[in-house]
Amino acid sequence: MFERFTGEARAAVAQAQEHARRLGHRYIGCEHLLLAAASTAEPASAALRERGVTPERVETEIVRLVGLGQAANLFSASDREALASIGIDLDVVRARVEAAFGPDAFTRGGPAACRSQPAVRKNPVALLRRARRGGRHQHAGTTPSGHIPFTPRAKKSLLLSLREAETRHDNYIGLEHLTLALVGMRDGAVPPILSALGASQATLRAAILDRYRKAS
Amino acid sequence: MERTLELAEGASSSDPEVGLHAVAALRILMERLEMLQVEQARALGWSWEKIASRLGVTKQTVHRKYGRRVGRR
Repeated sequence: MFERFTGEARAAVAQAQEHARRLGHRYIGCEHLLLAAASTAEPASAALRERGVTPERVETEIVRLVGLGQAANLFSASDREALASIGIDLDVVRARVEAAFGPDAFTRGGPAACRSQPAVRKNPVALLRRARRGGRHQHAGTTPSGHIPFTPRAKKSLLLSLREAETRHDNYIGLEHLTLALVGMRDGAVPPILSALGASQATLRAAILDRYRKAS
Repeated sequence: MERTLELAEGASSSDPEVGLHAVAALRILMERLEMLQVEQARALGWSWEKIASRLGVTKQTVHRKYGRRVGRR
């Protein structure tokens, strides 16, 4: 299927991986694909940006939603406070766990990056498989290097972009198909990001289709 | 003064916002501890059965969750 992707669509997928890496995430999710899709010179990207879905705003929402990567963020400051409210001192727990299991006990490959990925969280095997991969390809506490896996939902969005191409009788998969697939996602990180940016999924879809109708 | 503080604390702990957040954070902490302990037990040669019985779950559950990650040592 990937061989049918246009140069622009491939570049966007590669860019999504770079975004994931830069943000310290150990997976490539739909949010990274959306960030890449909003950044190109293609008409579909322009349609997103015109409606407020700019790379800067998408990135801000990703960080708000998912947090910056690295398992150091396994617990946020508010998690710490919430645990303190029921009498658990996270620093004490952490010190003891690290004394028993090593300094990377809280940070080595684990479910950190998956917290806002409900589909993955529901499937512990996939989660742990991914965690193991993270451990193999990554030095603890540094920017993820090497292969970063796609989330199942990101894979699904790539498949849906093929469907978009088929529906429109296009024999290639372009950035417009990928973008249509992404803005059409019903679950995962994309709907909350778009809704936080005040962009309705239906409006974005119509705007993208309109661009390509004019162009052809 | 102390009484006021107690009341304030009582009020805050019954706030679902804080309480639910605490439960969610606790779940993450628990998953992490479970992973570390299962890894350790396997490294020490514990059987899945023994690990499962101590965790109070079935052998299948613990194997499904950790079999791929921890494997045989």
